[in-house]
Amino acid sequence: MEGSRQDTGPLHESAEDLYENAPVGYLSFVPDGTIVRANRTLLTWLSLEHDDVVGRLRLHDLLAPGSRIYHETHVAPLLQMQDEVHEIAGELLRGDGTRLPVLLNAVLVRDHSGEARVVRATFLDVSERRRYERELLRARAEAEARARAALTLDHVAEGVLLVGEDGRIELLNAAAEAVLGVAAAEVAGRSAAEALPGWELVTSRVAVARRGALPAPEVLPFGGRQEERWLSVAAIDAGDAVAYTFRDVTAERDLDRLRTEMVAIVSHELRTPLTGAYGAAKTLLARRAELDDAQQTALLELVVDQAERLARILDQILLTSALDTSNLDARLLAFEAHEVVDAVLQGVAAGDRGRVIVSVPDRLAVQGDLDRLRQVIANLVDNALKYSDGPVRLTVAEHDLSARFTVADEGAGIPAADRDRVFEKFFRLDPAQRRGIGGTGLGLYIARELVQRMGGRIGYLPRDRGTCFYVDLPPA
Amino acid sequence: MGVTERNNVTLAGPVRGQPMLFAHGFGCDQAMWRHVAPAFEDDYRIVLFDHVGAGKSDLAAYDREKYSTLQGYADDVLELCRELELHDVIFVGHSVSAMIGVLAAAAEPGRFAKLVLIGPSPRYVDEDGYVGGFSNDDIQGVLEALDDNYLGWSHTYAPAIMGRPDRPELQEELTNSFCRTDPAIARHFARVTFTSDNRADLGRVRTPSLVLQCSHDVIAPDAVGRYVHEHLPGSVFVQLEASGHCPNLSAPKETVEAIRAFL
Repeated sequence: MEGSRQDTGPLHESAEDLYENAPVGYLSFVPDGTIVRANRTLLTWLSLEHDDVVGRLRLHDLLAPGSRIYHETHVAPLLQMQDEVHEIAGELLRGDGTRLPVLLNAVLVRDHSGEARVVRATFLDVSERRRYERELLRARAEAEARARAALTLDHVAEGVLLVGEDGRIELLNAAAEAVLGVAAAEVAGRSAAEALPGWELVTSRVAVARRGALPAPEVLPFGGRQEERWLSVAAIDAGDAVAYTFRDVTAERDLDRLRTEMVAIVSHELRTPLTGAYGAAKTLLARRAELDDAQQTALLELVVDQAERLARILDQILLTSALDTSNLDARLLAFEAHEVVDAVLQGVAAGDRGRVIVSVPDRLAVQGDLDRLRQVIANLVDNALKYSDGPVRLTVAEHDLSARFTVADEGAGIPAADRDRVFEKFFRLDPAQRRGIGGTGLGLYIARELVQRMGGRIGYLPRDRGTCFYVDLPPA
Repeated sequence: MGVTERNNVTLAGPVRGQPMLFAHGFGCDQAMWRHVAPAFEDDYRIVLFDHVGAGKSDLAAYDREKYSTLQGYADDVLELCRELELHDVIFVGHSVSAMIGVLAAAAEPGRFAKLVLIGPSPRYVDEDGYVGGFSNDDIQGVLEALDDNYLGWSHTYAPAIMGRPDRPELQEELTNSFCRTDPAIARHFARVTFTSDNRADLGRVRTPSLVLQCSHDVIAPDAVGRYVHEHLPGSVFVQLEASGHCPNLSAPKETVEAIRAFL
């Protein structure tokens, strides 16, 4: 084709040359479709000879079947109605049967009486554009498929995170947002190492499984937030990205830890009194003859004390279990506040009774479960006596339409960091028991549960010195 | 929405005149009849309409299930006749609507006085000695081309690539202002039309019919017109000089004369 465009003579741009060698295909056909003219450009595109086409072929001979139908049903009627058509996509047939994508513009020329004489058509070669448009259609279908997949992923309970080869976050689903505590809109496209605190631990600990292999999940701590979370993380090669799946196992781990702790605490708490009782009984058995009556009585009292302590611990455990598993309802009755205080005082060991300073109005009706409330207050008084050496004040007064019981001591108090946790199950201020004070860590947990079941509130009042707990109960 | 709105019915001519019902073919709408229908306005009640999915019909009424066969369109024609209380109807059908008229007349023979079939084809695909004008490969190619969306107006790419354009003015700015069709509906209509086979229905028609055959019609070649004439009992065959598939547009005078002679 280069040859036909060479023009070494003076520049004259003849109409003939402009027509024949224009960068568009020209074709003229009469109403019965017979082609009456075609330019060289079009003939060259179609690999056809002038004399084989002009006067011999009709337009539809050059059209691929789809375009033939389209021409007859759409283009020809339009030409008749509006005398011109613009930008109609179609396909021409080359001499070898292959197809050339074209864009057609055409005008219908009429004679003075209005009869159609000839149609002049131009064709643009749009092969490139066709490829591009196909690519667009394909890309759109792919994008839609991806969007559908992402939508599905959002309904998956496991967190899914896709990290590209460049370390950037390509996609994360709703569950991943929740587990990792980030918003997809904020982290998508960012480097995972930067966007996700603690990510290095994941990449260093979790092996990426080959595609088709079963990934082995690792359980790791995750997150820079105050609250540490434990995640079960698996990774699998997803071609040009790594797909991570997450499950938050913090609750499961907590439960596991709790179970271990409980076994340790309970065995220890049970063993101490058992050892005491066993030792006393054994001494009595082996050395009864050497011991006087007072000594024997003391040993027997020790056995009884330790047995009672054992029974109390077992009661606590059973009560906790009952509170955990069932709706242990309190029986709500009206009674006088001093009835509770009297019952609590009776339970205090004779040696400690002098340390308890009581202040209670003669008449203040309370609604609750008398025995449960006694248990709660007794536990608070017991703790106060245990954790301090000075006086323990047990006060009852009206407070905001409630009856408020406060138990205050002048001991070391509770460290600020632990104040929120004292009501947790198995929480103990002194787990190592450096101060020799035992306990199951269930007392305050039970107290809170019981108070709540009576419709009341239990809490900690900040003090400069010592500890002060309160229990509010609705008035009768 | 009533049938008249659904099918964008337009009426002309004497109210008590014998009804002439014009049905457009695939690819356009009732504008196809602009040079033919007015010629009958003095003597007949002219009824023009758009098939559902074409022209200004109610696109919301388009039901892929109903219109998955030509019978769905024939049912619309009958519904329209009932609604407008048309009797003794002269049905003029172009292209695929010729077959829609055949189906309607076979279903309710008493409704129709005459059928005028312009460029009819009961089957577009060659098969076992039958010449339809297209090979099975041709038609498959056409349908694939339609699915790929690279046939026809270049603007039909836009919805395919962008999804539904939410700028309605895009639709209004089209330079090709006639025969606008929803691309998805046009594709489906093409599929239904070009895969239909209504050869067996021809024998069910008892209505006097005129077969108008164009010259050089690549959609419905001469052999097809002859086939229709031979299998349509008592039909009249007229060969037009007009070329192409749309004599109602390219040669309205000749078309009108042929119809008038038959009536």
